[in-house]
Amino acid sequence: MSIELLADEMLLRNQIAENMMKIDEAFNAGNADETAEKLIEKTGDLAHHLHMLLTKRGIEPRHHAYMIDNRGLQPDHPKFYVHYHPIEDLLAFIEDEHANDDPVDQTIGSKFSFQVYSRRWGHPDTYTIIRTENGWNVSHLAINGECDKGGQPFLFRNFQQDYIQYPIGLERRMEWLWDQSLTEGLTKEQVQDGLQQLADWVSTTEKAAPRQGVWERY
Amino acid sequence: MLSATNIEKPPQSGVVTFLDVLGWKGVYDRQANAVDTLRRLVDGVRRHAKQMRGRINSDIDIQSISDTIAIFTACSKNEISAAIEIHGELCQRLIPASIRAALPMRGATAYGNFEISQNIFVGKAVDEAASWHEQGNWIGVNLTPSAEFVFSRNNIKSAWISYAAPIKVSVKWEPHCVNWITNWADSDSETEIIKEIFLGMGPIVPEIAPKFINTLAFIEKISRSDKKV
Repeated sequence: MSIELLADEMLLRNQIAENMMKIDEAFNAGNADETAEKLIEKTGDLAHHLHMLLTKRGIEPRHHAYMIDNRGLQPDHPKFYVHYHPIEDLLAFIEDEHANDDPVDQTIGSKFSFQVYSRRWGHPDTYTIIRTENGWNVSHLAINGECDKGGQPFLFRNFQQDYIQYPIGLERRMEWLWDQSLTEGLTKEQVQDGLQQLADWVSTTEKAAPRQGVWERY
Repeated sequence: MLSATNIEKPPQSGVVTFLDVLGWKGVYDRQANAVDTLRRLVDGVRRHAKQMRGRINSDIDIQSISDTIAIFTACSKNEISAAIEIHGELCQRLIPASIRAALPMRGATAYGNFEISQNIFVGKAVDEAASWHEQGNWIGVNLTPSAEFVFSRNNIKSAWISYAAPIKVSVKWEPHCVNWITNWADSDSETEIIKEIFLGMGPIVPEIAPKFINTLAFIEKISRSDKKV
């Protein structure tokens, strides 16, 4: 347990956990309407009491922003815990005080490199990519600008400029990486690693494009 | 846990939505990474569903088989409308995302009993959602009769609006349908983008055309009524 509970807090916590099991049983038996709702109300009061005890000694339980929004109440409101999920999250907080922490977007404005092989020039080129509020800012020599989450248009215009072959799916993966950076709070190192893996994928595709025989003239 | 995923549970009452991809058959000729794209759409719904915790007492269970996404929410009688509203909000985001991904979806939302054992689903709500969603002749989601009979739209920002959903069976009614064009800043340019996506999905043969045309008619009617407001 991440939070050290005092004796009276532990009693409350155990009572809440026991009630949650009974609520599960009531739901599983198809008694969502009466038994479960009464138990949730009773357990919500206990959870509120426990919340206030913890808060009084400086350990205010944290909740997901969406939970506070969805409940439409602040966590110290007597009715906040009259619901299954916040009670569940209170128990999770006691187990791990970071259980309800929301991921923080750490990389808006961060600068990344994107090193990709160019057959035209016979060496790797390094693009600069900045993660922005709405996508990426891609720059390399003369082709620069704001792009969407998928890297359109300037990442791809750079490829076209140098005849670089890239894999289908690159755009979607760029978009996915952007979204993950937001929802999972990826670190700068994780985003850099993700981007370079994509750049390596482009380089592999570029190098693998046929160039023997009839393709010498392509 | 109140999740519908628990194995071997008795039938529960709740809301069930079935959605599938239009034109999944032969999609490999159109899109090399369709599986990856669909998986991302499913992941997106799951993430969105998690953010609904705290609104009703049960968890939302998202299942997928082939090109079908099934959403299950067990609920008490007091929570039926809230659960239907949540399904509407999930579809409100999923439908435009599916169009952008060139894997447009249609679906239907039902209310009733259902039972889940791993990825086997049975129950009246399952039968109803499964059969109605195949009747949709558009890109969109509508309530089936069971859900329509119990739904009370008491939120002005509801994801559901009344609309004569184009369905293949001949019946005159205006069920609640998901308003997935809400919050469009510029409906004309959004419509143009959608038309371009449809063009890219061509050839628009007679079997497909009604679905696109019905969808555009929905956009036209709803955006026009939004402008009046």
